[in-house]
Amino acid sequence: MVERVEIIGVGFEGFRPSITDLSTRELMYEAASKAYHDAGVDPRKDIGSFISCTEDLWEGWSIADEMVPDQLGGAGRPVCTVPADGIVGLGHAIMHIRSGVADVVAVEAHSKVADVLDKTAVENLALDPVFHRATGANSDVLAGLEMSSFMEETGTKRGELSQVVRSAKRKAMRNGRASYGATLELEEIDSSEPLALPLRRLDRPEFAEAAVVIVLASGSWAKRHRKDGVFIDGLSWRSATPWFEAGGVKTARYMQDSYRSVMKQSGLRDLSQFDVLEVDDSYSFKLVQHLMSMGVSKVGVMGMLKEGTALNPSGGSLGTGHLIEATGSHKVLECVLQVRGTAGGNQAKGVGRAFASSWRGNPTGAGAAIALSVGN
Amino acid sequence: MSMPMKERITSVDRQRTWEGEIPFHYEYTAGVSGERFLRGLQRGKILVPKCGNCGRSYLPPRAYCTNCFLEITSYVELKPTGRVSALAESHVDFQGRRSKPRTFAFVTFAGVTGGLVHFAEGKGLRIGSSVRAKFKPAAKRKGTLLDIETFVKT
Repeated sequence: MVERVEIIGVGFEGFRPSITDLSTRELMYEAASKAYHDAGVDPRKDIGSFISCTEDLWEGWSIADEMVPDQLGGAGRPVCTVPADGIVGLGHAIMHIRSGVADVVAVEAHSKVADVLDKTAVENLALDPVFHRATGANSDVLAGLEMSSFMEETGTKRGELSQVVRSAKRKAMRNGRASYGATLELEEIDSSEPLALPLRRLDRPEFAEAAVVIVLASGSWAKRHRKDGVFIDGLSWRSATPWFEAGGVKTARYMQDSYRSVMKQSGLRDLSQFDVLEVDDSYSFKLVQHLMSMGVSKVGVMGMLKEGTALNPSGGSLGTGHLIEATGSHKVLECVLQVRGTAGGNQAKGVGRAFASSWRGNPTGAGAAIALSVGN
Repeated sequence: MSMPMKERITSVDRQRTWEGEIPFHYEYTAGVSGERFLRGLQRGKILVPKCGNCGRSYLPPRAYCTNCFLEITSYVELKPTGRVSALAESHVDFQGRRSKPRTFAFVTFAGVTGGLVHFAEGKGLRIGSSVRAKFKPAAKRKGTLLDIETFVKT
């Protein structure tokens, strides 16, 4: 039997558009200190492996691995960086635990993106230099193209996507970790600044900064040490060919496959079995696309946008701000707080199961999903 | 035991930053397949790799089949007409600054997996429109994607 892995502690710092008093390392230290306190572990004695989800270009620091160990309490210990979203980092932690590398693993992910003065330049460097950059089509253009095709193929209207944005911003008003809560009229969203039409300014999240540290342990370790963890029932990630190379935008293959794998691992049937969903909304249309990829009809998606539903109570990325590699970690954090009943103003009632997903952004076809529960 | 910092900066005049840059430049290798494709454009042709095993063709071009993971060595010439599968009117330039609107399309070709992101124009252009590649005059082609000036609605 495969050993269960549990989340025994979470810690975070930041969740603001710009954190001006802390360096990247200090931001990580703060989140790690709080996570270890929450887990009741000493990183110098109890944690066997440390993982940081980081990408050199966002750090502005080549071989960012070198600046990771100390502030996580991992100096002289097994430390690795994963250049991917935080949920993928959690996947690596599970592998470390199940393969016997460690009983307890810390996974860190952060965004210090306000330090990056040329954010668009970093995004552009993700595009194929020979076949994409030549025309000057940047990341927003790729998103606008995909959005247009998705709307055409699914019959999605501008007004429906504005409802996605309005819902996220409203929910964010009740979340202390959300930087971009607002009460907006649909007309404001419909007519916000054009980026690459149909993509408008409010269809994409603004950036935010934060660090999130999640401490995982094997079920046997947690039992021995009397920790009440949040169970990871399933986790999966996929890297598909980007849509413009593979064609087809109605379904996000990376999300569909990740979701199906998670449901199989969890022994669950569909999303209605979760009490809270934190689904990737890196663009307004992506939320709809991702939910449809997980078997929800468009009518169903629109119904989920209403107040008080289980969908993205945090306000999602549209309301919280985009946290680059910490985007998935934030969603997992919100899920953990929800199942613990400590999510604050947006706490849902009676949360026993939660689901989170992430997408790594243009031009990738890389996504991840995770199912969490308590007391099943 | 873990302990967050007790002292934090509480005055903005104590906050310091250090400006830096990463001034690197690259010459990206187009590769075996990219070379065939780009040299084809220079001759006014759209050449795409075709897998000898499964028969799939790809754009952007690649030297290996995504489906079979086998090397692709044969190329076929496409008719220069395609279909607009996605359309975006960009109001920002490559650096994200406000700019004069430009229309980009994702142009797909019959029997080809993928397509090209490129400029497109023509009255009434919409998703589903048929477009034709307009090449630059031969003397001005340099073996880049921009040897196709734009895609024009037919």
